[in-house]
Amino acid sequence: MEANENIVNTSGLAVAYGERTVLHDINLRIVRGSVTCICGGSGCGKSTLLRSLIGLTPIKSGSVHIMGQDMQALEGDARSVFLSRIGFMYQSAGLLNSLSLLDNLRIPFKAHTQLHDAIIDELVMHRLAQVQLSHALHLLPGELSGGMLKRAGFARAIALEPELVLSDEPSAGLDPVTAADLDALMLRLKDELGISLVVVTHDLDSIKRIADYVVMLDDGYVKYSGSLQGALACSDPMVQKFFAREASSHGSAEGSLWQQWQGKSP
Amino acid sequence: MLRIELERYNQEAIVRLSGRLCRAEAEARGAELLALAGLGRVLRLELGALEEVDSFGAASIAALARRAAASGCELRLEGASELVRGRLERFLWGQQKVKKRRGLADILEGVGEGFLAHLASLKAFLYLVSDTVLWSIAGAARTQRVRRGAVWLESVRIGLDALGIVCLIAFLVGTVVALQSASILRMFGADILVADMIGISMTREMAPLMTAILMAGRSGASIAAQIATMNINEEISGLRTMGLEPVKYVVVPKFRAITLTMPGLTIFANFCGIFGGFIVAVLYMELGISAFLHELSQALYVKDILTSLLKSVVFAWIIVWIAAHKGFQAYGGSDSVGRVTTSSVVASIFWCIVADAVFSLIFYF
Repeated sequence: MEANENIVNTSGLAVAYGERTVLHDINLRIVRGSVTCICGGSGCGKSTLLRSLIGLTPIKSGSVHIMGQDMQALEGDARSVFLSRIGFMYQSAGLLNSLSLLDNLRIPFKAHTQLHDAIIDELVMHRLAQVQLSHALHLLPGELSGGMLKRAGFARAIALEPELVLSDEPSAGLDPVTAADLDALMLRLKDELGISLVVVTHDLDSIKRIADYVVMLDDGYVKYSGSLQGALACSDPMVQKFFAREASSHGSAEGSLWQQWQGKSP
Repeated sequence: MLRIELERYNQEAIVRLSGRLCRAEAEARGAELLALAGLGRVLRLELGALEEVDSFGAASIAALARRAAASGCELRLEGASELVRGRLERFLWGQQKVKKRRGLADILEGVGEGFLAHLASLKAFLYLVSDTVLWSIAGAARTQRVRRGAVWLESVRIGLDALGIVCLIAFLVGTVVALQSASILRMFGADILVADMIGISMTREMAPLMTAILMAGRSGASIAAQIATMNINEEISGLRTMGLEPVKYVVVPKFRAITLTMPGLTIFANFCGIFGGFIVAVLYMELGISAFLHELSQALYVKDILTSLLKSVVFAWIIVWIAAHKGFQAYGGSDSVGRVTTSSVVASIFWCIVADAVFSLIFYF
């Protein structure tokens, strides 16, 4: 794979909280224009990896290059300008609760462009229309449902038409139908805007719907990195166990409990 | 690069756009484009030579269209390529206005809504007051089972933890009042009257009022923020679904605690304030200890002490009722917590001073 096809490259990335190293020797290649899902069990370091890519969590060693730019070499205004080319969608949307959606979405335009206010308002309305939230223009984030909040968060993430969008657990807390709708929306806008998506999730259905590539973490190490098809066919027991969850979760609860009582693995 | 060519015929203006209209051009020439809206009654925008438009460029044309419509100008888009038209169609999708111009009816409606909201707030406040008093007096066996030791815990938080700062502030106020009055009293050879001054001012006004202001800023803010956060995090709803009345569970222990501790704090404030004045009188004004104490005992009446304690209890109730009321009004997010906390402190201090004025009218006029 050529380096210029990759929008994100990490080399020997390690992250620590104090003395405790939570990510070890992460070497990632995120393909431009693709959807890459970072998955794994709870506490394996998925969100930490996502945050460390753009410096929200400082790294202990190694390097991160996004669009060819060494992220550690960026400081001050240059860093701020560069980050405007990357969108970040937080698990809880990360919108300012005191501001309406209109004002929330105005922020990136006012901070990073010299556009006239009237043009900014058109762009904000367009972004909200893209995520089917035109009717919620004047609502506060606290007045939105979970699904609407996620869509609003995504609208802010794509406000400046970034080349890369990082999303932390977009389907967390959503019902399956709303989660599927959000996935479809993200895929549609990814194609429309030509963005690359890196999504942290442990929702198997979501991974199968959106992922081109999968990075699987286990206890801070990359267990698998490659295509979704490769992950599904992977012989590694850990990866198999993760992707086989769906089959076991479809069994009846009664059966599962009965198997546990019988001392059998479910 | 964007080129703008303009031709004008009477009430009609023809604008030819060529080149590219993307983010850089929208930023650099957006204002110039928007100014085209006021050029005539008909604005023909020829887009045939426009090679590239991104969403920023399309937003610029959409903003121009909206502005033209608002100023009664007819905008015609002509000759756009399929690509440009596709971009524009996504923008010229609706007529939702960002800012709604308010008419007289809207203003009157706003006033009416505001009045009704204040009325509802007053009603809720009166309910809170009656519920708190009722359940505090009538006892709340069920609450006591659920929150055993709550009154003691709240008393420590509200009263005991504030003792240090209340005493320190009262002491400083006492010294300042004594120092300020010393120079004037000396002019009249009435140094000894500093004992009367400090005794009366501390017991009647300074001690209860300064304690109330401190408690409004410290404990009142804490109560408002706590209840607001509980409200936002649906803890209050959680209590209701368990069949517990939030006022009984959350407010009554605080009400009892502040009712018990505030008079105690005020007594300490009285002592510390008078002690501050005593220090100034003895060390700075060189008055005799026995002379100061004798003058003080002559100046002070039991009525002053009792009024001070009565005031402190009323101030305590004002603080806890307003803080709880504001806390229950919080909704939305973190911003709301800050807003109701500020509002609670300001309103508590204001109403404590109003109550103080009423007390002065009742007891001393």
